Amino acid sequence: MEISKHLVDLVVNSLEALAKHVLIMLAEEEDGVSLEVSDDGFGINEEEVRKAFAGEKAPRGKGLACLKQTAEGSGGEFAYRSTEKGTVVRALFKGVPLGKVGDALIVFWQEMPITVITLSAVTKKGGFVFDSRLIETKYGAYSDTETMVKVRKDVNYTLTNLFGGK
Amino acid sequence: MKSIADINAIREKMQSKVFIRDNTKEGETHVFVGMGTVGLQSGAVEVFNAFVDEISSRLIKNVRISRAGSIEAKEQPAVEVVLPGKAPVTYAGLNADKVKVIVEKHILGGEPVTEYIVK
Repeated sequence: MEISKHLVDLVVNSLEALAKHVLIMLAEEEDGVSLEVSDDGFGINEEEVRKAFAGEKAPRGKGLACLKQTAEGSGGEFAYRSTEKGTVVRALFKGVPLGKVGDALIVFWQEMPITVITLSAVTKKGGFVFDSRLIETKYGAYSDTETMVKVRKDVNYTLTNLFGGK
Repeated sequence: MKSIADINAIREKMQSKVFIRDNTKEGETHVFVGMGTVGLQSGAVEVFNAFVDEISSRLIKNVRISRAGSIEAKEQPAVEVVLPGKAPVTYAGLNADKVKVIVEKHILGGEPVTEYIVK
């Protein structure tokens, strides 16, 4: 599964943990692409994660198990820490396509007025920051589907340039 | 420090605000796209974006596209479409082409597309 889809899965976990702020960081590393998602939600139960990693039924841990499989299967790394104060998940992917991050971000359109979602992307070519609080300032009226399309296009275009289709 | 109950209360308060704001538009249609892990693996993000494309390119107003948790269905991705005053209709096994048909026949035409409905 592409990195952008794992990103959706992780942000879903954050929202289900009632996070008020979700921070997504994408970076070009020497040997791949890293994704880090951190939030201030109430965290994920260790037992649930253990079950999911063992292939047992665990609704909220399934996405983490899937991410672990993709990251480690690509020769990369996976790590997570979770407490009742927040969660951070980090993965390194080698040779896994980034996918369309703009398509992934707008999935959370209805949630973004309630939960702040910030994305930062850094590569050798430069950087980019998206902040859901600035959508109306930068792109247009929140209630307009056109604005969704603008955000998607800008994020997709910028990240494709930064990551060079990696 | 805020307890989970406090956070829930804040969330509820905020959600009702959003609801009021969006409800100024009468008779809104809601599209919920299931984003469970299996849904994601089967193309839920593509289906979500296909709805966005259809709704925006055809300049259709009063349609709200949202993420949902996982929608129980044998085939994924699954989507729930709720027309104003109508019972929710659950579709499964969708793709971009099927989304076009649903927008045309159900959202614009008011007739659910029976062949895509979960049995």
